[in-house]
Amino acid sequence: MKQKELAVENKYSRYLTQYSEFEEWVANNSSPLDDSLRSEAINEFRRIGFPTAKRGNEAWKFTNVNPIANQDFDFDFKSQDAELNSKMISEVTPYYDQWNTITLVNGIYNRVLSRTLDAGIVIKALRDKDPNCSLGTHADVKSNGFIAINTAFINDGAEILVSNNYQCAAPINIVHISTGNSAPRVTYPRTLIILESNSSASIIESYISINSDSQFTNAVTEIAVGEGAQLNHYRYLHESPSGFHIGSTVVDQKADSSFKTVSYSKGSKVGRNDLLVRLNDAGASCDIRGLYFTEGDEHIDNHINVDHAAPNTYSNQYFKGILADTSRAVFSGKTLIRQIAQKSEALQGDKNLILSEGARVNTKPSLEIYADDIQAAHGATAGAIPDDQIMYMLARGLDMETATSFLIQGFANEIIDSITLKEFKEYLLNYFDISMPKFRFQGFGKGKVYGGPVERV
Amino acid sequence: MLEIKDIHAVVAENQTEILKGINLSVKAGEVHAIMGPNGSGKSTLANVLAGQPDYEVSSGTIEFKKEDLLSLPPDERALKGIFLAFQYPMELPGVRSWQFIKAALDAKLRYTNQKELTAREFDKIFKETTASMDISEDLMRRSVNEGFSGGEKKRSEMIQMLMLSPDLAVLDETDSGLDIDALKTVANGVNQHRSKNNAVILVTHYQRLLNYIKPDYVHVLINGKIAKSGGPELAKELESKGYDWVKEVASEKDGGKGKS
Repeated sequence: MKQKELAVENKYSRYLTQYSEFEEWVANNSSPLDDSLRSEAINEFRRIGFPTAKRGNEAWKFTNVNPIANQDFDFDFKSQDAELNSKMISEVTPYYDQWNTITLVNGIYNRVLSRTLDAGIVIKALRDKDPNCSLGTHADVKSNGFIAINTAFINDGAEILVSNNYQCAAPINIVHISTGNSAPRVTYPRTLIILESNSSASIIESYISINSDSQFTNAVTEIAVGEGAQLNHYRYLHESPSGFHIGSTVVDQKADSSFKTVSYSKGSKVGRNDLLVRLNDAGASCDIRGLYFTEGDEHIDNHINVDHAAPNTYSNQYFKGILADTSRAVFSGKTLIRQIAQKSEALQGDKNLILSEGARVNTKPSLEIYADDIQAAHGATAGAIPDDQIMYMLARGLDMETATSFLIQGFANEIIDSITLKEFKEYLLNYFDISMPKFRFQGFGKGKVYGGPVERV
Repeated sequence: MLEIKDIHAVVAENQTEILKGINLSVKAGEVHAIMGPNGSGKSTLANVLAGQPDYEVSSGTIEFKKEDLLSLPPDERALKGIFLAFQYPMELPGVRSWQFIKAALDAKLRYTNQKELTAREFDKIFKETTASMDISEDLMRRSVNEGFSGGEKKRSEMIQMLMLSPDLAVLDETDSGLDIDALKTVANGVNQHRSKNNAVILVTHYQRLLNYIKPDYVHVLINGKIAKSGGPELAKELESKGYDWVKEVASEKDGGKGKS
């Protein structure tokens, strides 16, 4: 064994031990899960381990995963926690009876809390193995250790297939919920979404927890958007503030397909959304928007990669962040336009509202262009609440607290407005109206360069 | 209604004195025009009345409805009945005009112990007011002033003034940058608003607004002081003779240029 592999082996021996235990359990329970996919994945993890900033890894420069790597998380693969009901879920995430719903509790498909209403879609648990399943073909285990370890520990998950030409009437709601446990627990939610040619669907993925433990969610979602298909995708991340979340989403798009996604991410101890969209064929377009809010000492990292690998492709990345207290956020948007991708268009933007002097954002939109006949633009901003906007509102008789919350809500509205799924839009508007902490702008009239901090009310 | 006594004001940032002893008395039912060349302190006076923190009052007193105004923060001045129509109205991205004006009106009604309007009651008045200012309803459903033309911003200010129905409206160069149709609409708004119970202060550089809004008094501000006061005829005289004429009349030498 090479020196480097040995080092990884020692550091992550717990994961390797867990893998042996899991293998044994899978063998004894004649699980239909794909052994070769998992064994390849654990071998890859053994080789690469978790990403660290030390290796000069630009992609993980601002997100230190050592708190995850150094902690022992319990992988409770036998768990069948089902003491949940729809009311408990609807209190923490959008959840409606008239939606197709797939609920995964600690990564395990829960039949009681799942239902399929549309005729043209197939929803399956990954444990009910589909022989034609393309699981693992989009998310490459070699690309990072988190995808590798998720794949190695595929225990269950959801597969959603929207058939050729089928226009999904009701949204498809995928709820990943983690429940409390005595010890810190890791879960490996896994989702595969396939839209066949010329089909369309609205899909919402939510990641929530009903405890405040320091659990670790390591999620992977693979999405294939067929020729001419249209996917409106939403991601709602609101887990425990003391937990860890690494979510990797890989999207492969065929010709003339459309992938639109809007995410809301609440920070946690360490939070990371990795999204890779490959525009593989001509006419494919993606629109990626996100809103993030961090407070306390929370952290969120949105790491977006778009690969223009065909002519006439379009991408738009637009993110907005609200940062309070001593929280940290990272936006890293990378768009690659290959030489073949002539006549393509790529936009990138990230704007941040900094509510406190202690909060910090690292934002880096970047374009890597090898084609000459393209259009591209990028930009990023970070700033405090402007004094003159506050003055304008005060001059109309609004108090400081109301003025501040109007401006914070107004800042968020631009992203929320791009949500076409009415219920989800209303859910977020309501969330900002009611659940968002109240702040009061403190620096009014004191400093012209920096608007001044915003204090909690 | 408003008693300004020997007000001196400085720019907070660098303590440059802009207002050098202003005296002005405004009674209910009156319209006062404050005119003057650039840098004379007209806008500073408007901003001092609203409580804009860019300026500090170094001496003098202002009483509004027999109460000390200077000790009040900007929001309380608004609730007590002062309205500043901004020279450069702010854009509030993501904040809907409807929501913003409803919140402002509700705050005022609460402050004066009146019942808040229901959404339906508000909507009815809001639609009528919007129509009277010749602004499409669609525009007012968008974010406050965002993407508005200069004229639309000024009309939006007038809608807010009419909705909030202030006791004292201070219009800071509301006429600047307006074409003749927009100017007439804005003037209509002011004429619609003015009554024997309220007062209006028009801050303007040009006489042309006064063709449509007839002031009771005209004051000429030169170098931080009122150099001359008179009736509407004074504005006409200024139009033909220019500000230099007043400068000559004023005993005060024309000093350094202040920030308007």
